[in-house]
Amino acid sequence: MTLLGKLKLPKAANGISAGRKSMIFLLIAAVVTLVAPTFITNKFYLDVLTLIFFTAYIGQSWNILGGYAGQFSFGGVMFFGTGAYTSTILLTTFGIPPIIGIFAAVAAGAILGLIVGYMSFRAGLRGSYFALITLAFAELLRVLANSVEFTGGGVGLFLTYAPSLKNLQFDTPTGFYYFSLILLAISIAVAIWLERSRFGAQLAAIRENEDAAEALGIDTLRCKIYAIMIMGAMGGAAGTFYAQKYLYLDPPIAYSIALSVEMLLVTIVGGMGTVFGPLVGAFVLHMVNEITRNFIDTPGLSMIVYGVILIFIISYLPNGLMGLFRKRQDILGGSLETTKNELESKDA
Amino acid sequence: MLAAAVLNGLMYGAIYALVALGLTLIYGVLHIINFAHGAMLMLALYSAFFLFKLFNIDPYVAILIVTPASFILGYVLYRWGIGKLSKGRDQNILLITLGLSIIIENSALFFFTGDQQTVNLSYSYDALDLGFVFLSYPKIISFFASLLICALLWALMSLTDLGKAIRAVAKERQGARLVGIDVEHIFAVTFGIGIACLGAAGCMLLPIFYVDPYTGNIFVVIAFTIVVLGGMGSIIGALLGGFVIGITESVGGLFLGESLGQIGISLIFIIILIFKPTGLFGSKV
Amino acid sequence: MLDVRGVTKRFGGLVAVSSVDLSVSRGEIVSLIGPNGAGKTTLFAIIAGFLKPDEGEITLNNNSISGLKPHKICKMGMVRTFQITQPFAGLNTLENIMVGAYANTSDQFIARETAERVAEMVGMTSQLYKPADGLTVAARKRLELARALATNPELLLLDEVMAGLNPTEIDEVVHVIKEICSSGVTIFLIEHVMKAVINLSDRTYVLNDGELIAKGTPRSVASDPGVIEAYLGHGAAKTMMGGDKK
Repeated sequence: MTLLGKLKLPKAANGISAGRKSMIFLLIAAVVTLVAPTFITNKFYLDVLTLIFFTAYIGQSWNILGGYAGQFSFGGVMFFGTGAYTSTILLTTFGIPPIIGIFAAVAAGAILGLIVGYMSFRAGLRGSYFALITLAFAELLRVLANSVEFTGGGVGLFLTYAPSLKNLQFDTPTGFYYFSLILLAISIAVAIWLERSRFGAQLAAIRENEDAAEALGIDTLRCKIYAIMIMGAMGGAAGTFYAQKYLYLDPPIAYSIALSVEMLLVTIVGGMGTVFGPLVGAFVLHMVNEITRNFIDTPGLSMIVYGVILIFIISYLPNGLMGLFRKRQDILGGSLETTKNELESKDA
Repeated sequence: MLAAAVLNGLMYGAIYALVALGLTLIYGVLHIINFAHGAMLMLALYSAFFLFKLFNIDPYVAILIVTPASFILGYVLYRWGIGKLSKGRDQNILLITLGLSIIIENSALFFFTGDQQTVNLSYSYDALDLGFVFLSYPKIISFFASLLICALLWALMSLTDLGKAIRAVAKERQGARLVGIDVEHIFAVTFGIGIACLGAAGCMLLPIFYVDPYTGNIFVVIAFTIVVLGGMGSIIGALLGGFVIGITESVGGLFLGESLGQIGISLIFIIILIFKPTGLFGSKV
Repeated sequence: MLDVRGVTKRFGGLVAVSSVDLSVSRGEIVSLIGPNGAGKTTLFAIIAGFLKPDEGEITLNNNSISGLKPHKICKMGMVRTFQITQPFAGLNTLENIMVGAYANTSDQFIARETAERVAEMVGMTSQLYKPADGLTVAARKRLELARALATNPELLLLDEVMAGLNPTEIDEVVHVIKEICSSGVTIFLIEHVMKAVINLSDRTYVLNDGELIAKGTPRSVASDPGVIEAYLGHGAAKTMMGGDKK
């Protein structure tokens, strides 16, 4: 019988007692965001928040593969666009309501993730090569969408304005606010789960040292594929959200490189591999956008600032803004801290 | 029609090759993937454009100005920018050059607006009649000028001391340091040469193409495809790859139409990366 | 338990490993020694699944593992450590070891408990919360060992786990390895430190230029003229002769 055969089961539920502070914070934040619409009278701000939540949501999808698993993708928009087209075509051609279509979009995103992930990871592509091939896939899809009939080609697809829950369309900003909030909440839940699960530890291992991870029994190919499928699934839903809100879709919108950049930007600025990184990043970048627009309202200025921020963060603050709060990533989300104290007091 | 497309593709291919040359050189020596390559080509195009518009300098003459300027820009950018900030990590460099491309692209948008710009030279519409196809003079000039520059680059790499130093650094960094080569300087020089290629290519491309802030994006994928096709770090590969891609684009456009024709390039890129990442002439990935 | 038969590996024109036959039985500590560049790490890499052999067969507990991916081999009970340590730099010691522990459980608490136990066994309890990239060389070697141990292996492949350690540290690690063995783990190790080889191994294989040139007990191998010749100039023969007095 080997060394570890004499294992005793630990006391249950001990670990989660810590991170209590963060739990309380989370609860307060949840309540605040839930009741916000009743207090915010100017609906414009609700729209702003909606956009921020949406960006944070899609940033989180990038975070799963990029921040946690360490595989940087430059083509994340492909899931968004594919999801958007899926639910929209189902609606316009087959009359399937978006409330069902969104699940198809999620599935489409996941399947696309499976295909791209399998091809790329199986071929052993990492680092810059992986980033580039995702870019190429996104480009490929853009060109296809532009040339094929059932996507409406270059003209695009128009959705009819018909607010209702089954259409996932809302006639007030409040409706979309809650829609985006739900998506955001799901993404945060996914990240929290990741930080406390074996899968998350495996992704972290892959990120830090893929060969060592492989040697320790981690099926790195499978894990990476799962990660990209999660990214794809999340991206797909984002696409449907967008389609239902703006009621128009064409290839440059569906597969815009700007969105690929935005999702990685908010995550890197906020903090890769953290639960709230993308949200923080989304807020900050939105602030930057507002400020620059008040300063000079010419297109391009805010993106210039974004680029500068990106370079600055990569060079001097690689853990993003969240990195200012935490020295490094806790894969157990804070529960380590308490037990560390316990341990130290035992030694003393 | 096919012959015309092939010839056309060949013409553009030479310029594409020049663009890719810069990229493959930078990768081969510095082992970094310069994501800002497309954006800097766009800068070169704008430079040539303004030199023409404001000072009436013919783009082909502008090569003599833009190329050295690009070299200096590249040198400075690497030496006191990228080299310092990235601390050498692969992921960092990728993101930093991405950030750079965002800054450059949007600066162009901010200062020059999003309008497409072209130049009309006095001889823009004069063409050589080959019977089955008309080749405009600018195209012909660009073609030969590109080949010339590629040849010059080859000569530089093979015949000069600088070229030897660069090749030494590419092969064995530490060893090169040990024999007294200033590696940081060589890196910066190489980067400068890579950008200088863009400077030249931009001048040659302007008369037969157009420029707007997003032109860079188009060429990013083309350049990368050529580089992986020909093999990272291989000059011959970049040249041949350029021709192959040029022809593919042209013929693809002929048979599949303007928009779908572009698919060929992304497809080639994906296929190569998956099945033969070292490319046709390259060494290890 | 582990059977290596006729394994050959070429890199272009160079034959790194040539027709190697060896075996490791359950409960043993077997060592693989040889001059630098003999092909030891290459052989390990092949056995552990990181390289495919050009010829030959490898079986673990009578199951063929040639050509299987490393993670599958790990699940079958054999784990390797790396000569140049490969810590998960951004994680702390505990988290590093937990990754190994997760090979056998998906429960966070069990993994944690296992990791803490293993850390205690190798003497890293006081360093559990240190970031892995802040550890000393000796500590990193221990971490490498602990991580592999946490996967609950039947056979542990240790690649130069003593390299870079001072004599005191070497003695500690030898002690730890003996404990690991007595708890039921079979060990196959590459080592240069002769003192450790003598003290630990039941049997030794000697590799030179990719070929097995000797095998047997450490003592019999030490007096093998072919082995001494292979090591000539390293002074190892002298060490071996004097070392067994301890």
